[in-house]
Amino acid sequence: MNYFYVIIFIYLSIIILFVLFHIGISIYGKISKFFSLKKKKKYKRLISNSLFDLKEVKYVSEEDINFLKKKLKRIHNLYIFEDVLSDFFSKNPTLVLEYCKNVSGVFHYLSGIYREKSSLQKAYFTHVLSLFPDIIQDDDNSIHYAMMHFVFDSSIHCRENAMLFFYHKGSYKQVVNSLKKINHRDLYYSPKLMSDDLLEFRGDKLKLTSLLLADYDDFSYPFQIAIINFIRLSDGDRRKEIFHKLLSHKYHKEVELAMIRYFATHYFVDIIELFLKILNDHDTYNFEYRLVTAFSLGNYDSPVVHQALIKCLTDENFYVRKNAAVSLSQMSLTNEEVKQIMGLKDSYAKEMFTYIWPSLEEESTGVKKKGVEVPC
Amino acid sequence: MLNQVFLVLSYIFLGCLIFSSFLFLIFTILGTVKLSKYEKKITFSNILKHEYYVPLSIIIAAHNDENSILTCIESLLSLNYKLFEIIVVDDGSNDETVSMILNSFEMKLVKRPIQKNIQTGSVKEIYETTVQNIKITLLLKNHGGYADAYNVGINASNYPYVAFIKANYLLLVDTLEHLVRPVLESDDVIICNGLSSCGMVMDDVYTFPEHNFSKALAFSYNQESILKGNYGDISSIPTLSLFRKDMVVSVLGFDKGSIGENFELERKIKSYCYLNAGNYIFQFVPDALCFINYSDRMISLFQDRQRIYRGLFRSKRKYKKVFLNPKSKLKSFFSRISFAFLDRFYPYIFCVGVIALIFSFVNHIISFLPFCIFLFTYILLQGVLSYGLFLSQLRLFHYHVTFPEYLKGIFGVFLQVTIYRFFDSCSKFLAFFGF
Repeated sequence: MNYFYVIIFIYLSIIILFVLFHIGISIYGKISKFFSLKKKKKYKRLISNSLFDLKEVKYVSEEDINFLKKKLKRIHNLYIFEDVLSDFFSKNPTLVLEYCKNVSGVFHYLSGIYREKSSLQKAYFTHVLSLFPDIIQDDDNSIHYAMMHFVFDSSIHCRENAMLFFYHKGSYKQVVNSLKKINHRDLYYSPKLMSDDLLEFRGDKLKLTSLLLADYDDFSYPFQIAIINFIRLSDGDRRKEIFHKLLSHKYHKEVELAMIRYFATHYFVDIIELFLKILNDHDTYNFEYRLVTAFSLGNYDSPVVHQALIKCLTDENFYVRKNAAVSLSQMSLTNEEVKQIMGLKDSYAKEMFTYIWPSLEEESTGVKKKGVEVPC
Repeated sequence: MLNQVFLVLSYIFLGCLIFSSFLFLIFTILGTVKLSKYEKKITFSNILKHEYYVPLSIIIAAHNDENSILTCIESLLSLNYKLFEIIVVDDGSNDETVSMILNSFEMKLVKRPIQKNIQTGSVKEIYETTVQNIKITLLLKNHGGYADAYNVGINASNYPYVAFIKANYLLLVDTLEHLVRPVLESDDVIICNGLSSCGMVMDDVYTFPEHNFSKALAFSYNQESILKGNYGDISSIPTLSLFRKDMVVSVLGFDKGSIGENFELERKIKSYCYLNAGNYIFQFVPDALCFINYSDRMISLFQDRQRIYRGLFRSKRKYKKVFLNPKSKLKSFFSRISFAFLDRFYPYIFCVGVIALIFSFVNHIISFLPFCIFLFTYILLQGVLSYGLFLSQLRLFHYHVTFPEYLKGIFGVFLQVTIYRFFDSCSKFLAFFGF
């Protein structure tokens, strides 16, 4: 029976410790909140005075800069600083940007400090820089060099935020070099994330496109896909270049598919012949090529394309038939072509076409131009 | 002789109680630490915040859900995440489920061909509409079970990721956004699991469900999601999970005759991954919260728990290799063994132990008073651990709880560690025989 009492005693101790722990956490939370609010007011006063100084005497006092250097080493202080600065930015962005340029020395100093900290803290530091890229001067090569360290961190969040800093800064050289080095070190960078992040580039996107395409073959295929998607989404006109790359047939299948998708939104008459070849040559090009090509042909309204797509309605692959039906529904078909489709012996073909174009069953002689968006 | 036997059985039962309590203590501490690390990650923007992530299909299997289906669809339409489609598969309802959906969303009958990647029962009719740029598809089929309904949904889906829910699930406005985020962190992410609970949140204030047993469920679901999710173990509760569609198609979706719960598909996929090598990541996302609401009828809750346990036993027997996967880390391996012991053997030890104890008391083999004190402190410990974990979860979401709700919570946790555990053990016990 003594064992019972020993267990009971241990249980009671654990219960008391747990209850005290949760009470402690709750009290700690409230105290933290109180002190955070107090600090927030202090930082608000500091930044407000600094902004006033900037307006009057065009510089931020040394005292304020030293204060920031000392305090912002701690991530909680950096968090409050970022919060307050964001509030001021929403009210007076121009003055805050000027302020950022004046405190760039602080962040230059902090980059060395945060470099030695945990990935979580590094990621947050780079996040703050990405929000206020003007904190770092354009000609400050040493800080750009320091930022490269963050680009290669093991944490994907740190890498992402560091890259966002370069995109928001509009630094061509740093963006291209960073991407090359990330690629070279085999660090993961989702193609979707990369193409969307490239769209956030605040410089001249056409110039960036040229730089990326100049070294295109140095990148691995996920990066090549992301670059093509970026060019497509940023309306970059590189039709001839991409066409020649597609003709070379030396790229990974997924890269070639991305190139084919590019031509869905960038009309290029010379590509039609290649597209028709892809649809007809089942030995060289598998179903994935056919389904993406069938989708991309939606903007190429011509009789020869109509016939190629009508033939695709009888393809053995369901998704090729679907995309062909979608593309045809966007075109101006003649009565004969409509009759040809409705006269197809293949019930799957007709089924797919009448699903995309439901009025066709009632209007078998009608000719309509209708756009329907269906993802590939 | 008989006295000796019952005494031994009683001590085995007490030993199991003590073992289980220390196990929960260890995993609760570790779970709380992991949650606080995750909270810190969110606070300091260690997330891939993005405008749009990847498109996904949400598949709802409905069967006689006229009371909840519209609320479910409307909650999906109010999500912040806009890159998804809704596929409702009606599994032969004979109430107003279908007519309510058709009338509320003005759906049109279409003759849509569907690629049958997975063999399923035939689809009778298909309706489509678009609401707020979100496509809603309704497929009608004969009654074949949730598993078959989900497989129909997989065939009809257009997007590379799928999530399976039922009509009594309610997602918060940012649930999908949180659930999808890990997909961008690695190409190897195949499954993302969220957190399940019961109740409601309005303006960051959490309220417990009205029904008492649902209050107990809130704690039970929360505990199981966090304790098992953090260590890659598969929980035995309904969860909101996101799957990569190509992997779901590779394993041919849900097994025919299975109960159609996410944990079955998860176990199937993990078994497939274990056999086929390669790198695969299964991610637990504590801030992807989903509320699951049950009817007030205890009998339907009891039947539902039995159904879930039958499914759990069936999938565990069929996909044994997941259990002893040498690739899993030491902590997940230990967690799996511990929870397997608790899931598999505890109900029987519990039932036999209670009988043995009663016999021991009656024959004055064990003293009543020390045992009662022990039982009281055991219940108190379990309650404190459960409530503490629940509070950690609320802290993660920065939700508040009013004082009356705190008191309701105390009542709920008391129900969870006493009556609900017994009720759940009986469900498991009966489910094993049914299985």
